[in-house]
Amino acid sequence: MIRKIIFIAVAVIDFITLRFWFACSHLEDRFYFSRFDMQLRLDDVIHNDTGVPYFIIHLFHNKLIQTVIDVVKEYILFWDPVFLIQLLSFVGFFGFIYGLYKLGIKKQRRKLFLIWFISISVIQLWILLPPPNPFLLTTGLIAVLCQAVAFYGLWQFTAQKKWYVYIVLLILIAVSVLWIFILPQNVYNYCIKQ
Amino acid sequence: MKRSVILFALFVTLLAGFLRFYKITTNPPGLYIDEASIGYNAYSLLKTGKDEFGVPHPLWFRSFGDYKVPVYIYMTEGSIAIFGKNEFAVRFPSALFGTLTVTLVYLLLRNLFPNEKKKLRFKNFDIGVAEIAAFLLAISPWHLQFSRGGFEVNVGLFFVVFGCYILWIYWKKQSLFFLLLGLFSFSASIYTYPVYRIITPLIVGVLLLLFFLKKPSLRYQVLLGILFFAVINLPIVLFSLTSAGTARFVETSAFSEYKTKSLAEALLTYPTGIIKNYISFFSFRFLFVSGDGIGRHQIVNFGLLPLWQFPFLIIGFFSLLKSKLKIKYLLFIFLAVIPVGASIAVPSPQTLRTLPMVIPLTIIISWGVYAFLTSLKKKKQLAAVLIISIVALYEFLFYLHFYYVHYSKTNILDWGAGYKEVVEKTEKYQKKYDHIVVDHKMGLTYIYFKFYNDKIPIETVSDEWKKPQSWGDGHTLYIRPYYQDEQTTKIIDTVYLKNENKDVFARFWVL
Repeated sequence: MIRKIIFIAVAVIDFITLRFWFACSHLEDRFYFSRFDMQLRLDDVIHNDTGVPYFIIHLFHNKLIQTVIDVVKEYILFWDPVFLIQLLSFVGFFGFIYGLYKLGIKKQRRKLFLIWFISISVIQLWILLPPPNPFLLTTGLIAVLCQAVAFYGLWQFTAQKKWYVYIVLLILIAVSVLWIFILPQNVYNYCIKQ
Repeated sequence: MKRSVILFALFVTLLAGFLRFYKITTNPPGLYIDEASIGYNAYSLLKTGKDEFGVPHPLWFRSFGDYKVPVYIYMTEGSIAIFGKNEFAVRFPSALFGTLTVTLVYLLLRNLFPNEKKKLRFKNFDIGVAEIAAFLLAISPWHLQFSRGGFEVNVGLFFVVFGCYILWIYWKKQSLFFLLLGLFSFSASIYTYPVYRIITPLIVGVLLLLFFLKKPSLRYQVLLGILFFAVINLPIVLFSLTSAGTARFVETSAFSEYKTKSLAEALLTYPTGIIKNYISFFSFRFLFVSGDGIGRHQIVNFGLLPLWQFPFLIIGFFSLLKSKLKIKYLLFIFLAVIPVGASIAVPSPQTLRTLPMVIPLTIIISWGVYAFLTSLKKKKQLAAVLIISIVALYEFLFYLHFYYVHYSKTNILDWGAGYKEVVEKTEKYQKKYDHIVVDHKMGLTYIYFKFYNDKIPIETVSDEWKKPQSWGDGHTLYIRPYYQDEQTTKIIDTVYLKNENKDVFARFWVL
């Protein structure tokens, strides 16, 4: 019974958390890697390379390397704990980490983990590609895939049937509720309001 | 100790030392205002036994509206006695202790991760977590940045690591001497940089609780240790309760950001604000993408950790969770407590106050590299080592290129470059003029004059200042920054910055 109540509470918190994301649009604007200013950035950087041999300038300041660095930096942000907490709530993020851990250590579930990872990677790369991307669809898919792991993790966590499990979850739920009050301003950092 | 251990310790120390000392006088470019203050106070202590305000051998050094803790300044007194009053002497303690931190981390981890079953072996040389971690710390941009400037936090980190190492020896040998020595080292960190007032007691508390619970025979010694730790930190506790001791906290407190009208509102706002600050220290944007954006703390647009380490941080985190190593609990607890102190301050996240995070993060990443490589078969292992090495080397060279070619030009103003030239040029003109006046917009110039030449009497003046008629014409040297409306007829000299545009830093006027 307690388990069910906790799951309903988590579902409500996660729904409210996700609602803020749909109040704004263009998640891809934050993540989408723009190439239009690359030449300007490279010119600006090379400006300081007076007296440096050409091969070193070419080695470190070229479009290929800059593209790789930019894409990797944007990609890393999809796994940023701050981003995930804002997308999933605190309790959801905890479930997500626990879920990944449980998926990773069980050999029977590795294939499932791999399918999940490939699916989410495709959506992430889709967001990194030039717009227009359907915001609702991409954000929704990322959120659903992460929520699935989060609920799996919470299910596994509560299966331990130990007293501290519920204490931890109650604390996380309390923090998540507090977090909802300051969430909108943080979401603003990730997506641009119209 | 095995020969290979000594050889590796020597290698990693030399590497760390080279990267920390190479061109340390000229890059970072200039002396930051806090470094100048430390340098002058240390010099003043050496020559007169008093600080810049005439207080004999103080425990707390008054500095720009708050108070500095003493350890770094007394260390600098020693280095100025050896090397003279210059940039190298001010930065020497940080670079030296930064280098020694790398060696200590190696020796500590050799003991904490001793039984790795599947060691990596290359031509009779075993590589484990200790070797990888020490190497990664030696080349860590985060640790290098703070080892190359006169940052007290870096020396404090050495004392924390040394304290951990000595308490590990205590755990093995159970001699009271090592307990007291370890606690003394931890206390030294508290007297080195303010953030350790929060971090160190938390770490010490965890370790002593561990000793108390796991070694019942040591309980009396542990209680004695707690008493010892409390007594030697009593002065700083008492000082922290005074208005002088809390000045810095009040200045940087996160609480001052929130305007609350009622207790209920405060109870809701403060915890959420602190939680928000706390998690920002674990943001990958902060760690890998952009850092805190402060030019003195990093190369702008570089993260604190190299990008190639990202997958290994993830692998290391999950792999450590899965492992049966008990040390993982301490590692995660330390990582969790370090940002606590910084979370109640602004700006947040901030690189300087959370420098100690570099140690647990480097260990987790090293464990990730180790776990990944040992999960592969021999041939694949070699290929993986080759690929990782090439990517890591490229990214490190990329960092070095930016540090040595770009940073000294683009971040010149973050480091107070230009002031030394101002003092040198003033020296040149000093005898020709009766009065030397500096515009207040030049910042706290007086400390640079004191550090580089304390024989030049200067007066700092505000915008409204008018030259007294009694001074007459042509007897006053007026130093001020560049303004667009200036008339060049009265300008006798200019200090240019050593950046690509040769921007004007200051101009010398005759009034």
